[in-house]
Amino acid sequence: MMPALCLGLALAAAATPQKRHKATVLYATQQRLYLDAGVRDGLAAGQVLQLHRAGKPAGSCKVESAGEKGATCAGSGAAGESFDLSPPPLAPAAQVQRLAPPDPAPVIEARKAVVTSAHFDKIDFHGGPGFGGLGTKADVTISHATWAATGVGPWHQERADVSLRDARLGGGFTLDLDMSARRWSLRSDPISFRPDDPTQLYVWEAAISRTPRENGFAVSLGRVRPRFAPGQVILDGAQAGFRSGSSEAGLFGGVVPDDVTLSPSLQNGTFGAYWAGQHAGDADSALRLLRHEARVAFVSTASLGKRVEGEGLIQLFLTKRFDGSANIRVGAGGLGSASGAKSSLDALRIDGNFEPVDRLSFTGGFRYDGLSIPELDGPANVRYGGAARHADLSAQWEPVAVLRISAISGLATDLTSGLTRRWLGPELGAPRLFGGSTAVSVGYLEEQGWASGRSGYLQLSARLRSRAQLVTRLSWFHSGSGLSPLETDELGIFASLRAQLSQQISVRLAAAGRSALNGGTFVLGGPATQTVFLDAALSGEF
Amino acid sequence: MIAFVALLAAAQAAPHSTATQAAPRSAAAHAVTDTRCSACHGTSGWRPVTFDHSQTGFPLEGRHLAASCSACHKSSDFKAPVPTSCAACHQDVHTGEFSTRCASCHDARDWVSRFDANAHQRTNFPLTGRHAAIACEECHLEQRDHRFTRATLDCIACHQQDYARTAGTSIDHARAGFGTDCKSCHFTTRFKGASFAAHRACFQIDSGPHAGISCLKCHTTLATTTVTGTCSGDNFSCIQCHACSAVQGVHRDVSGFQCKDRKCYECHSFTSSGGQRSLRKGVTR
Repeated sequence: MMPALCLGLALAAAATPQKRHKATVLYATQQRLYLDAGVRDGLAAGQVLQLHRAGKPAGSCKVESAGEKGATCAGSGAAGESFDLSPPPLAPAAQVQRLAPPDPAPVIEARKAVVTSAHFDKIDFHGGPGFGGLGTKADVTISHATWAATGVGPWHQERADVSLRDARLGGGFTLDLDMSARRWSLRSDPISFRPDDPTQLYVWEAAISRTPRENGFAVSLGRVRPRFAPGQVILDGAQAGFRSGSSEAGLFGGVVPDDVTLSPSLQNGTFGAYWAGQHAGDADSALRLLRHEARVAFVSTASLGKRVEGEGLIQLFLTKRFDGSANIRVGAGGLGSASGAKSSLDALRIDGNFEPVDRLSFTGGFRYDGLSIPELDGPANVRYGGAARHADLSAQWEPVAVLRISAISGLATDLTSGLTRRWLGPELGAPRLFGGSTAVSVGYLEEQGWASGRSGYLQLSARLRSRAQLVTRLSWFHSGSGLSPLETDELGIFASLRAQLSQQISVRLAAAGRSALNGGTFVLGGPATQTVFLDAALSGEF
Repeated sequence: MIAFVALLAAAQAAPHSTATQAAPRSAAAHAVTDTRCSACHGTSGWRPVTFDHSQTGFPLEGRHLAASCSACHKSSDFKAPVPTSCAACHQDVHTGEFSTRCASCHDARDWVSRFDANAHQRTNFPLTGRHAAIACEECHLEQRDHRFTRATLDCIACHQQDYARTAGTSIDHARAGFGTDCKSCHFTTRFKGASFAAHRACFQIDSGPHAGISCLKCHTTLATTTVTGTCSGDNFSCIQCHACSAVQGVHRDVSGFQCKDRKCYECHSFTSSGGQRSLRKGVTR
C-alpha cells in the first residue's frame, strides 16, 4: 500500500512542469530564430530576448509570435544560444479604491426588515386556455391518532392514506387513486360510527382516464370523481365528454356507493350530462377569468327516491380586486324536500372576496342547504341535519406589513330546530416577524345564540430553518348555559410540529388537550374532565 | 403492502418532474423576452431552474415547491398571468359544500385540514368537553366526497343509545319521564354527573351540603320514580345519612319533631332560594 502511494506521489511530482529559468534556440534562419519556450514559459509577442553563447552576450531578438510551448523570434543568432526566461512585466497595479465601511448593524437590520416584509403587488391575471392540473404526484401518509378523555376511551386509530394523481399508464391514459385504510385498534363505548367495523377501507377514486390537453374526447372509467359536474358525488361508472379548447361537455353515469362505507351499492344510481367552460379576458380586460359548470342528472337513491337534480356553478375573477363564486342546486321529485314540495332548492352558495384597495380585503359567504334526508336507521344513525343557513363575513386590514387587523363574524341557523348562533370578534396578527419565519396572532370571539359563550386564543407559528413548522395555540372557552345546564370554562392547548426530513419525506406530530377549569362547581360527580388528542403521521410525496 | 410498493413504483416510474427534461432546443421553449439566462439557469446544466417566485406575488411554499413550472404556466409564457385562486388548479373534492375557499382549512404546506375543534367554534355547534376529542366521523357520518354533512343538533340523535342504556340503571330515563333534551341536565364535559333543574325547586343539590352526591345516596329507589314536578315523592331517605341519634339532640326543642324522612323534608327544603340549612317559610326553631 505504502509503496504504491509513494510511486503515485513521485509520478505526480514528475508530471508537474518545473519552472525553467533558461531556454535555447532550437533552429535559426538568417532573420528568424525558433525557440523551445512559449507562452507557458512566460514569453509574449513583442518581448525582446537577450541571447547568450557560452555565457557571453550574443545579440538579441524580438518575439514575433508565441505558441504554447514554442515561439519565433525576429533577429539573428544561432542554434544552441540561450536566453533567460524572465517573467513578463507586470501590469501597473490598479488603484485600490477603498469602499466605505458597512453601515451599522441596526441600519442593516432595519433595511432587511423592510425588504423581507415588503408587500408584493400581485400580477394582474388573464387566464389562458385549458384547465388546470398539477402533474403526476403520489402522496402516502401513515398515521396514528389517539383520543382520550377522563373516564372514557381511549380510542386508537391507525391509518394509511394513498393518493395518486395523473400517473401515466401509456397511450395517453392516466390513473388516479384516492383511498384510505383505517384500523381502530381500540375503541371504547359509545361508538356511533360503524361500531361493528374496526377495519375500514375507503376508496374515493380509482379511475383510469384519458384527458386531452386541448381538443378531443375525455373519458374516465372506474370509481370516478366526476370532473366539471358540480355537486356530483363519486360513482362507480364512467364519464365521457368532448373537450374543445377551454370547454367540455359530456355524459356520466353509474351506481353510487354507500354513503357511509363507500362499498359498491346497486341501490343508488345516477346518470346525467355536464358542461364546463372558462373564458379568459384580454390583457386589458377587467375580466380575468370566468368559469362556469353545470350538471343535470337523474338520481335514484334509497333515501331520496327518484328525482332530477340540476346544478350550476359560476366563478368570476374581475381584475385583481374581486373574485366570487355562486353555486345553486335544485331538485324535483323524490323525498328530498322537507315540505313535501315537488321541487326544492337543495343548495345555494355564494362567496366573494373584494379588495377595494391594497392591504384591505373583505371576504364573505352565504350558504343555504335545504336538502333533507329522512332517517334510515333510526335516530341513533342520523346522517343529515335539516335545512340550514350559514353566513360569514370577515375584514382584513394590513396597515403595515407586519401587522394584520381582522374582524370575523358569522351566523348559522338550523331551520328545523330554529337554533341559531352568532359570533363576532377581532383578531390581531403579526404575520411576518423575524423575516417572515414567525407569526403571532391573538383573537377573541363573542358568541350568542342557543349555545352562547366566548372564546379567545393566542397562537404562535414559527418556521424553523425552512424544514420544520411549529404551531402552538393556547385557547380559552367559556360556554353559557345553553349547551349545558351550567356555565363552564375550559382551557385548551394545541401544538403541532411538521418537519421535512427530506425532499420527499415529512413527519407530523400534533397534540391537543383541554381541561375543564371549574369542575368543582358541578353536582353529581363533577365534570373535571380532561381530553387529549394525539396525532403522528409520516408522509411521503413523490 | 404490495399495493403500497406498486404505488411507489408507479410514482417513481412516472415522469413527475421537469428536472429530467433535456435542454430546450429552440428559443421557442418559452417566450423569450429576456436573454439573461443566468437569472434562472446555472452553468452546470440547463436544469435545475431556479427562480425567486416570491417576486411574482405568489411565493411558492410547501407542496407548491415541488410542482413543475408547466403545471401552472400552461401557455409557456412565464409572463402570462396565472390565477392564484386555489380553485383554479385544485378540484373541489367536497362537491361544493365549502365553496371555493380552500384556504379556510388548507394551506400549501400540508393539505391536511387545519379545521379542528377550535375552528368548530365558528359553527352552529361548538365542540366543548368530550365533543372536542372525538373523531369527526362520529357525527359527520357521510364519507362520500370528504363531506362534513351537517349533523343534527339534537342531542338524542347521537345519544339515543345512551338514553336507552339507562333502562338498565337506577335511573330509567324513559320510565322516569325524563325528556330527550340531554343538555338540560348533562354536561359535555362529563355525561355521568348531571344537574337536575327540576330537582332544584324541591331540594337544592346543585350547591350546598348536598352537592356532588349520587342519587341513590338519598333516594331508596328510582325505579318507580316519575318526574311530576310536584315535589311529592316519598322514595328518599334522610335518616340513612342523618342518623336519628345524631339529630334528635339538635331538635330537642323543636315541637312536633319526628325522626322520619318526610318530617325532615317538611321543614328543610334546601331550595335554591334558601340557605344551606334553610327551613321552609313559617318554620321556626
